[in-house]
Amino acid sequence: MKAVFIAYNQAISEKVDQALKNAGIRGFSKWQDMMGAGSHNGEPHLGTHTWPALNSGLLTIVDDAKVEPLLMEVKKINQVAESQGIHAFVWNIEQMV
Amino acid sequence: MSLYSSSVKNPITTFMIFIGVIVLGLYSLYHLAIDLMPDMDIPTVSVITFYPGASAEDIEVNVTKPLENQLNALQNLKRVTSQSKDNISFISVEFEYGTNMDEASNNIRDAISLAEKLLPDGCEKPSLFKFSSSMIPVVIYGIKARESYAALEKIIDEQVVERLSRIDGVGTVSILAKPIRIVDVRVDPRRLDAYRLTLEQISAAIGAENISLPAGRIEVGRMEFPVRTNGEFPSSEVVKNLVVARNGDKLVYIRDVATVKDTLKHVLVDERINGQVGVRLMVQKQTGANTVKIARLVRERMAELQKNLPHDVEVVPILDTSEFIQSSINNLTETLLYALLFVTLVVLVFLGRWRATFIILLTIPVSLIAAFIYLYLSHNSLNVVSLSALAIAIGMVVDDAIVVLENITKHLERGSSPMEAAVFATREVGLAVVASTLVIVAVFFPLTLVGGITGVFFRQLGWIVSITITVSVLAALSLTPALSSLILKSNLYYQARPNRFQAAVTRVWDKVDELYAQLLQWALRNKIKVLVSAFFIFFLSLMLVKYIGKEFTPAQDNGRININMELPQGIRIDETRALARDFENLVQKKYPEVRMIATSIGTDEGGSLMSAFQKAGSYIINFNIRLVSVEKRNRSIFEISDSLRSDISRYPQVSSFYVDPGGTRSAMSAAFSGGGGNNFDVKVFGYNINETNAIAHQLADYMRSQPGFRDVTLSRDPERLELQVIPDREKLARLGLTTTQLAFAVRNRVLGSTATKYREEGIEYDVIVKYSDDHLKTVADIEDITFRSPTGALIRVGDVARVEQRFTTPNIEHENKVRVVKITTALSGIDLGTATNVVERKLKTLEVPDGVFVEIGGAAKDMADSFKDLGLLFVLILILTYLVMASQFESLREPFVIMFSVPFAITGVLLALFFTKTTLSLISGIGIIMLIGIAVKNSIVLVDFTNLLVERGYPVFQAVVEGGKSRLRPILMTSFTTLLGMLPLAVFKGEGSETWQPLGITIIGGLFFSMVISLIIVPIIYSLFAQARARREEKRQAMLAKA
Repeated sequence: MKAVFIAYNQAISEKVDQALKNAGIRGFSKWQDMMGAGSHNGEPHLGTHTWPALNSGLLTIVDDAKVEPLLMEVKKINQVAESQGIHAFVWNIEQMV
Repeated sequence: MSLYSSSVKNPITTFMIFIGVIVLGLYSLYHLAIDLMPDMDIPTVSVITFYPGASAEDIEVNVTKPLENQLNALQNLKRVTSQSKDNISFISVEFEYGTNMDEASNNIRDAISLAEKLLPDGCEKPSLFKFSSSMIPVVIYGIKARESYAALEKIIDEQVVERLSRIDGVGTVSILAKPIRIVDVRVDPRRLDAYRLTLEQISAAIGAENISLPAGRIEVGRMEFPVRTNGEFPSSEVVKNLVVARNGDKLVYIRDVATVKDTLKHVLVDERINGQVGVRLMVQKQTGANTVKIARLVRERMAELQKNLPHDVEVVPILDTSEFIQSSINNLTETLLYALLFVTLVVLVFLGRWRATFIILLTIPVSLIAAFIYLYLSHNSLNVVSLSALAIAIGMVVDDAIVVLENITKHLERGSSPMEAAVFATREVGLAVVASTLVIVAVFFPLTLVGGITGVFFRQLGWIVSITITVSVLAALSLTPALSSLILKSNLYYQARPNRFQAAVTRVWDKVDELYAQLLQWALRNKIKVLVSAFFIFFLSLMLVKYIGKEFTPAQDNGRININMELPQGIRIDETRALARDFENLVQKKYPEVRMIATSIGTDEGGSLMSAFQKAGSYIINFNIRLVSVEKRNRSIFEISDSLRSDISRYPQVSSFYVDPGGTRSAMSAAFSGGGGNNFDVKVFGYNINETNAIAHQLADYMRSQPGFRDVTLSRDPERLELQVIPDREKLARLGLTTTQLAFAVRNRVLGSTATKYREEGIEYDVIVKYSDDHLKTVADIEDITFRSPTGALIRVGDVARVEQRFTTPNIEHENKVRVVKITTALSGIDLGTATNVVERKLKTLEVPDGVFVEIGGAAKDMADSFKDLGLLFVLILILTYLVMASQFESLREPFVIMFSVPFAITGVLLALFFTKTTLSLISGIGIIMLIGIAVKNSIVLVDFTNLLVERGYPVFQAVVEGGKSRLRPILMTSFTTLLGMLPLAVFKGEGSETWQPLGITIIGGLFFSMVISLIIVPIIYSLFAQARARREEKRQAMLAKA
């Protein structure tokens, strides 16, 4: 079991939802409005007058086998529109009840 | 959930709501009345009091004064003016605009009842008369006839008046100057004396013979019969064979002492249409009825009726109010359509995309149609003001949609899906869009609060623009994103192939952006030079004010000219008539533009109420000229009027005259027609008639000698020569007579008395007995009048009274209880401001006696009042705009920078007015006020975006250049939609266009200039402020570091 956290510009939520579906993932937790900025480049997404864009965050706990297809989907989104901003982070899940 | 996200998620609901708005709007449009001007409740009530037999001065002291004293204490009163003439006192009470007139009328009634006790015996009860817009005739027809002229009264009454009155919405139909059939008994006084008879005996004899009296009933067997003595004249022929007296065994017949004719009354009225005899038929509407519709129905009915009229009877329209309304409305509708076309082209040229253009244009009908709902709900009409307001709004309602759509497109280009781009892009600009709309509303909403006559223009304009703009922002935040999410395509995912047109457009605009950026960089490096020259231009433009004319409202060409000619008083009507015929011929020959000329001389005796409003008499000729429509002639009514003036001045017998282009001089039409030139009044107040006359005549003579003053007339008529019969009361008393008996004896012989009424086919005609004209030719004829005393002796008037020629003042006018002489003049070639100066300069050289003072009024006073209002409004709106902007930016500095675009808007206005030779009027004043909002809007976009870039970490210089470059296109686009939306208003000619042309010119000039200048100046001032702040910050840092 792995945890995948995806932080992305809310303008592309539709595509992220589609990505989850494509990877065959049902369960997730989502934060609709989240502030954030990239470490290297790209615009900050702060929901202010200056930086009006906002991020969403999505956490999904999936079987190891599903991780790779999901990351592929995310990569695809990023390739098409890199300036929108999307990142995925993966870590291990120790236990689940 | 926010408006835009819910509308994107529920597009069907969104569309249905807006379709609902459109349907309701169209429904309202269908039910809207069409009129020229918004409903104006003229806050004037007239109090009319008849006091038969009293002279003007008697009336003034005994009737007008006591009434005025009471009326003057009323609430909300603006002023009380009065006219005291022979037999009649006419007081007009004017209230402030917005006064509840029902309440005011009640107060007037109370005031009158208080004054009534003071009125002399024999004075009739004062009657109230309220002005309303329904009093203006909708249609006036001239009905010409040859053979049927004598019977015209009956023909029209039966065949026309009744049928027209039945039309729904028609108030009254009245005939003016109709020929009246009478049985005329002209008595020869010499013969009367020979038979020792008096005129009263003749009258009594005729009256006694014409009788039909029921005499009860009798029963004959099983039947019952009513009995009646019937002496009713079977024909008018009977009259001359009636027996008056018995002289011995010989009978004296009427024919022995008089000539009897069944004829038309010898009236002091002469009515001609194109030189042919006829009558006028006036149709008035009911209050609130639709003028255009009624006029159409009347026209249709008239066309039907005409078929049944005798062949020689011809109906010619003299006035059709609806015609001007209809063509004004049509012109404005055309203007609106052109504006729509221009706005479409602008959007297309800037965006290069069909779908985007479609989305933006859709906001136009939605927001404009919403205005119809407002008009319908507030019981307003579709009129020149409301349509112009729509024409003004058309270029502005697309602005919000443009901003929203532009941002959505940007998001799509970055790769968002249409649905999400629509939501998030709208959220980004939502606040800015709402704020800039608030600025526009801050400008237009105060217009709805303006009172007075200016308020009539302003109020609807304010409401309509505020409403359409508000609806447009709602549409921009819901309909625009909803449509975008459905029909726009994401560039990246669907690989939309840009068409060639779009590619070309993009290339051109990229180049323009680049050029502007270079220009801006240069300007930022030469700040001082640019600023100094800009302010130099500004102050230089202020100098132009001197060379721009000023007037109240622009004069309109409505194709009507009224001419009023006065001959010396006391001239016989035949002389007047001959002059009128001659002038008619001249006009017909010399002016091919004239379509119809209607002439009237004298007054209708029955129309005493009309005589209160209009000066008339057998020495006054009124010409009513109608020209062909504006497009079909080269000369304007003003040019034609000038030429007519020189023609009239060639008649030596005309003692005074005026030519009134547009027909605005008469009190009634002035308030409603909205056309024609401008009147200029100078009022001379003072009790002493001779002193005020002297000053008034000096001023009038001076004004006549100055260029630009035309048709100078005085309101106080020259003193009139009267034949007065002055009784010797002692002699009368010795003979057992009273002055009343004497007075009636004279009246019966000169004016005549109605002996009886002759009835034919149910219509009654007067049988009038009077002396024949041959025996009323000299003063001695009056003295020779004989009448019978109670003792039976024949008395000669000359024996009991003197007949004298005396001068009397025919009319005395008051304003706020003070006697006044008004000098009225038309201005031609000079404006009201200049005219005021000329009069004031002359006044300084005059020695004005104590108790006499001079005031300049008329349109000039209205102008001063409304310019003051406008000035206040301008300041109020500047403050409001600042408030809105300061709270939007949460800063006091940025709004100040933005405000710099306002002075240059004024420069643009002055330049535009100067070069197009347009005057500074109420209308251009509105334009300037509107410009505050429109000009500021551009700068808001610019400063807002530059701020954004600075906060994102750009250095000031770069932020200013980049901000300018990226906002150039939206600014140009919204400006050009507004500019080109106004263009049709500014350039199209047609009936009624004169009113709104200055507005178009003002806004185009002001907006264009302020746009160009503020694209350079605002960034410079912004960077100056930013640098100053940076320096302050540096100092503070340095101080901190030291500490």
